[in-house]
Amino acid sequence: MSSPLRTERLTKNFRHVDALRDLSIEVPEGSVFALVGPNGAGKTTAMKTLLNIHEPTSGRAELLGVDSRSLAAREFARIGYVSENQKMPDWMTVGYFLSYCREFYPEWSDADAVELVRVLELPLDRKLRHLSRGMRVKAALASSLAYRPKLILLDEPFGGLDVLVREQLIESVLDRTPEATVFLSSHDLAEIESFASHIAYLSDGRLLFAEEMSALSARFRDIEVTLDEESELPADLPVAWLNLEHAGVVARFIDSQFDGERHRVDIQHFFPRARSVNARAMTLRAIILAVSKAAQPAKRELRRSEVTPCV
Amino acid sequence: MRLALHIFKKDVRRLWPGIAIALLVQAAAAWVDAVGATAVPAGVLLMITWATLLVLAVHEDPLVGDRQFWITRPGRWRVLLGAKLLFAVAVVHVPLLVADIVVLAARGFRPWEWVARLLTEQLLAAAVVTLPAIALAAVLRNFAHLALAVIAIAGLSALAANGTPESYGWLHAAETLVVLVTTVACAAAVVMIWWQFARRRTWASRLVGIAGVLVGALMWVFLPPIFLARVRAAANPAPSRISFHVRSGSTGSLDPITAMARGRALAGMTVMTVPLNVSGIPAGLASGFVVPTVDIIAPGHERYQAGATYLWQDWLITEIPLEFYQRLKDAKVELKGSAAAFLYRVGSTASLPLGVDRLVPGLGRCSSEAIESPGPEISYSRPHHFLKVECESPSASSLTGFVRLRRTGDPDAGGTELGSMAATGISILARASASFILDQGENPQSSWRLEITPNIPQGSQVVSFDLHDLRLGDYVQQPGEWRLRGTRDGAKGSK
Repeated sequence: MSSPLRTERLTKNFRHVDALRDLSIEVPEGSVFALVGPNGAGKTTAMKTLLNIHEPTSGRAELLGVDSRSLAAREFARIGYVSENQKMPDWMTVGYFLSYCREFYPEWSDADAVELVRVLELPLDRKLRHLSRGMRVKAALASSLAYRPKLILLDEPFGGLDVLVREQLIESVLDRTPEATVFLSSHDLAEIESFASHIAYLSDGRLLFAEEMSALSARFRDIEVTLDEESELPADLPVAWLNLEHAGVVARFIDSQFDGERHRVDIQHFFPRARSVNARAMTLRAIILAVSKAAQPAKRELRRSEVTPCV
Repeated sequence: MRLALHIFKKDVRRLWPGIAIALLVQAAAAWVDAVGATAVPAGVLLMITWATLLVLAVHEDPLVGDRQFWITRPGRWRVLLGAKLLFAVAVVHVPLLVADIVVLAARGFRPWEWVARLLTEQLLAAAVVTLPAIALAAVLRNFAHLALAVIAIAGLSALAANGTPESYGWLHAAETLVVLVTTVACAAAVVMIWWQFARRRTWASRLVGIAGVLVGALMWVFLPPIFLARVRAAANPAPSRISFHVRSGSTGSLDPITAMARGRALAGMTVMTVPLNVSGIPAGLASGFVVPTVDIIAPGHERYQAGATYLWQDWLITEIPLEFYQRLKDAKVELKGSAAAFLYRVGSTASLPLGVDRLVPGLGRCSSEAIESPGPEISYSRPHHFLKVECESPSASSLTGFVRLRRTGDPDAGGTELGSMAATGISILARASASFILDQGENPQSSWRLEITPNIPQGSQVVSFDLHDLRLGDYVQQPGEWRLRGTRDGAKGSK
């Protein structure tokens, strides 16, 4: 299966700031690939470098088989891009905005546009400047979906939107363009979890992991071990065990390489006097928090080799 | 082209109130010009309106920044640039062309005879308004930045203009300098526009703009007038090669020169007058010379750079300090320098009845009127009446000539050169005027008539000269020695 979006050691520096460092990802066709990370992690820089809004400092990116530096009208006619902080032509009405965009896309479908306007409840005669934030994002989305793009890039599309609007946006993207590949960045982990098929985590410009959502959920477990009696923990615990906490007879940690049989063996080896072991599945939010905590400076170097199984 | 037109239509839809204002100002400026008035305020207002509109049009799809919605839309940079140029053509250049044609026709010129001039006017508008406005808008984020840039450029221009030597005017060097500096600015603007639209490299484009402005300012300050005269001569060379030689023996009157010498001697200066043979001026042509610098080189390589120097009626006249003369009057010196020669053909004298508006062949359309004051810059202690003669032509270079005011039956007539008037904004017509003071209560219409003789430019040349073996004492007149001196037989000259 070909990849509509891939990067190889993509790096972007702004003077003395390393905004993006050696990003290597490959987005499978038809996937919904979420790029998550804290503020300032480099998500927006990654998006803009992919779209050649910023030129890469080194490395390369390829969209729809074309180097990002060479993206031209032909490729942009098959790419949809919506960003939370896009500057829109505020003086235009929604109707004029859509008819203005229409001329740029040979594949534009008036029927799709009409349907999007209906589904997203867009007021055609209102000026963009008079729309709420959510409505503006909807208008931008409508203008980016009506030509059925092959690749959709969404940069923080849900920021500050209420649940209903988010739901509408997600449904629109998934329903209107079922064959498209979606690459989005977001803070909203709960929302991402509901529809992303792949996830990548970016911290301080560096990719910490990128994999299928199901694989990620499968390999992370919140482990609680209750011991017979209070005792010191061994010093050489596996590096895949993150954020270890120990109080009295209870030890808690996150196993980032959970695998039923090996996990049982490791527990028996390191906690021979364990009275009970409880392994709980984790939400995406809990996984990301655990990884973020583990990636703090003191632990970062120690853990990186274990938690960066990039696709 | 389809997409460029699409973006253009969007810009027009957005900016139509501004376009309407620009068209109104354009119509007002054309009307003022067409009735023969000087349209400076309307012209300046029009240029500001155009520049503002062009900036707004470029900022409709801004090039600076990384958040514009259009940059991920499938329009190529050529489409966007094409749309903005189309806007400039539609809003600035076509209305200007129409206005120019209307003004020419209204002032009695046949527009089809001035196609080259109409195109030059379009180039001028592109160089002065369109390209700079688009280039600045392409690299600046908003109007505040734009205002700062304009203030900085204007300040630098004022500083540079302050250092312009007086001889620029005599050599017509200012016009050449303006053309050269404008060419540099336009080249920088074209690079900025291309780079910014094609690659959106804002800082690189800004640096090109800054370099262009600095180079222009340095040219303004440091290009020597004689170099500019050479450029002008290369563009429109004289039909034959002109050279100077020292003339053996002397003829002609030196009265005006001795008068000047007397005045200067009191100020510690004296005057050196060298009779010349000027060869190479084709028969039938008249000439005028400007000598910006002359070096007087004495034995022992002592060098004096003379200030004001004239070439008048085949005499090279320069001022030297009395002390220099007294110390070296018996020494043989060398005179080295360059002179700009302007050739012109004296056209047929045309008679212009007072109060009548008439085409003068080789010059343009001329008229006269009696007025109270020739201009705000001239004032007299008691009221006078003046007769003002004004000529206009689409060709600024043809507006040179001599005007005489002759009393009927009187062979001696006072006269004056036509002097060019202040630039008339972006008008296609250049204007020149001359004024005469009339006697109290005199009605010029009853007893006077005007005669205008055009001087039709025929090219120019920079003449380098090196006159040596000149004994200083033979060419300098002292107070009390007011007699004409000849040259020494041994004096030689070379071009």
